[in-house]
Amino acid sequence: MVIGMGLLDLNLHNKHPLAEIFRADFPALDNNVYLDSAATALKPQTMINATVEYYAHHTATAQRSLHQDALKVTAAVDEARQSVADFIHSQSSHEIIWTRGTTESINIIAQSYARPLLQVNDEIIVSELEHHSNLLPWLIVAKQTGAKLIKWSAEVNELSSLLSSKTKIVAITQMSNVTGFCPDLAKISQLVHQYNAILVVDGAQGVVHQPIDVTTLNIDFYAFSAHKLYGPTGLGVLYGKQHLLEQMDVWQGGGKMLKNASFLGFEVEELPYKFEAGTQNIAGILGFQATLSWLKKWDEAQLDCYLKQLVTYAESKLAQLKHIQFFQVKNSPIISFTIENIHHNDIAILLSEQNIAIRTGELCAKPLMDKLGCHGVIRISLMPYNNQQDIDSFISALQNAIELLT
Amino acid sequence: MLSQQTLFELFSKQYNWQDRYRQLIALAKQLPDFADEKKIEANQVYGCENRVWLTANKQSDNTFIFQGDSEGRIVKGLLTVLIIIANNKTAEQIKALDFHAILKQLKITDELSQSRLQGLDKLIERIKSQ
Repeated sequence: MVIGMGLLDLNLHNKHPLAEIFRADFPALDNNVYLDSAATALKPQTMINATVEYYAHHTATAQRSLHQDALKVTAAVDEARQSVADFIHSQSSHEIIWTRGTTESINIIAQSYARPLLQVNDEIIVSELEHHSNLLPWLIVAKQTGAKLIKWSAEVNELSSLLSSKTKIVAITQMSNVTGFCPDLAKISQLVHQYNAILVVDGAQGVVHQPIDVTTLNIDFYAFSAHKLYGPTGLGVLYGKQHLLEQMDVWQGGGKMLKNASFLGFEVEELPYKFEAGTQNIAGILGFQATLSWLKKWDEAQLDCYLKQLVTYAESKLAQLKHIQFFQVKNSPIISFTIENIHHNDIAILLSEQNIAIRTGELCAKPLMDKLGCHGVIRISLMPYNNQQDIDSFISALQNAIELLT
Repeated sequence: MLSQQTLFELFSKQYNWQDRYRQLIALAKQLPDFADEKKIEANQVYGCENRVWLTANKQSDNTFIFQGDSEGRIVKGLLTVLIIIANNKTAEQIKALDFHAILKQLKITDELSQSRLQGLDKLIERIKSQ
């Protein structure tokens, strides 16, 4: 890596022509400095086209009507399900449930799997890195069942001392949305299963930056949202091992989750449909299928290498600012920091005024903020569609803001 | 504390957006910081992106004197503007105030995107609740 003045001269575009082509696929970048991808990623034109195409020319429902578009849509929804199964390396598309997002996926696990299982004083180990979406569902089910929540630092060594025969569930993020830290899932999984507990992984951030293989890692439940992975909002995935999903009660009742119904009762449909009551987010599913196909055409290693250089560049520019304190792990595309004596909200306002999209605050991770000893951070999050110019504009806007505030 | 007239004079000149924020940030210094014992829940205004505290003291002539503090300097500057407008008025007079029209007159509402934040309405609501 080039350092010092050399780094400032680094022309990443010329060295990475692929990144420029990648960037051109995102219409939202035309007049926007977007450094808030960990909140939601921008959408490639392909995904937008697929959604528009469905609404404009092929609107129909899935698994119900028998006209031509309806049959096509039904097939496409299951094709997309298979694409997701392939993407996360699950063994069968029956293990893939469409949800509204990571939050709903984890709530389903808590209510349909954990709630009937947990007894008073059973333990759920939850890391303190977690986003509220992988904390609140566990707090709720603990209250309902009398189970206990056990706080864990996310370090493997500490986990062995926390696990016991009382442990029923261990919940951990694949990648922290604040620090970018990626826990060692392979080792964690091994330990968790030694105690016959089940492992729940929140993949909301991790799915974007790390290839995931739920089968090899022996993950019991995995949740992620389409919108952070260049896909549509309002669509998520719950992966569960087939035998676990089979033993679970249904989550919601409604159309097409049943085989038979009368006023005396009902018989649930097979997997995955028993968890998908009501009309699904079809436009979203078709958009996500287009996103996953589009993702395949890029050389992941090359884009990853480019992103790492961009991260190094951003970190080196930020490090030149006075009174800055970083909270992220090295080389993370998520960069969180504070500036001494300046409130993050003031920075947010002044960057917004300069059309720079970033995120500030507690980032839905209050327990982690308490641990880090701060009330909030300033976060930029990078994707391969960002470029050096984005970083330069951000740094210059940030310097303006700091100048105004001091 | 600045008079309302001085406030109008300050903001009447044409400024670029940076200058307007500079004004707000400078105005924030008009409000003394709250001691920790005043930063209690009863004084906190919820719904803002950063923590804001507000107290109101009724004087013998039934007018109010407000004091406020905020973690963020820009919000504190906005709070200062609101307090200058509301101070030394009775509850009825405060209720009749059109804060948004005044902020518009001061060119704060239109030019600063901060004023679009929901927090501003929460502050106005709290001041009017006397």
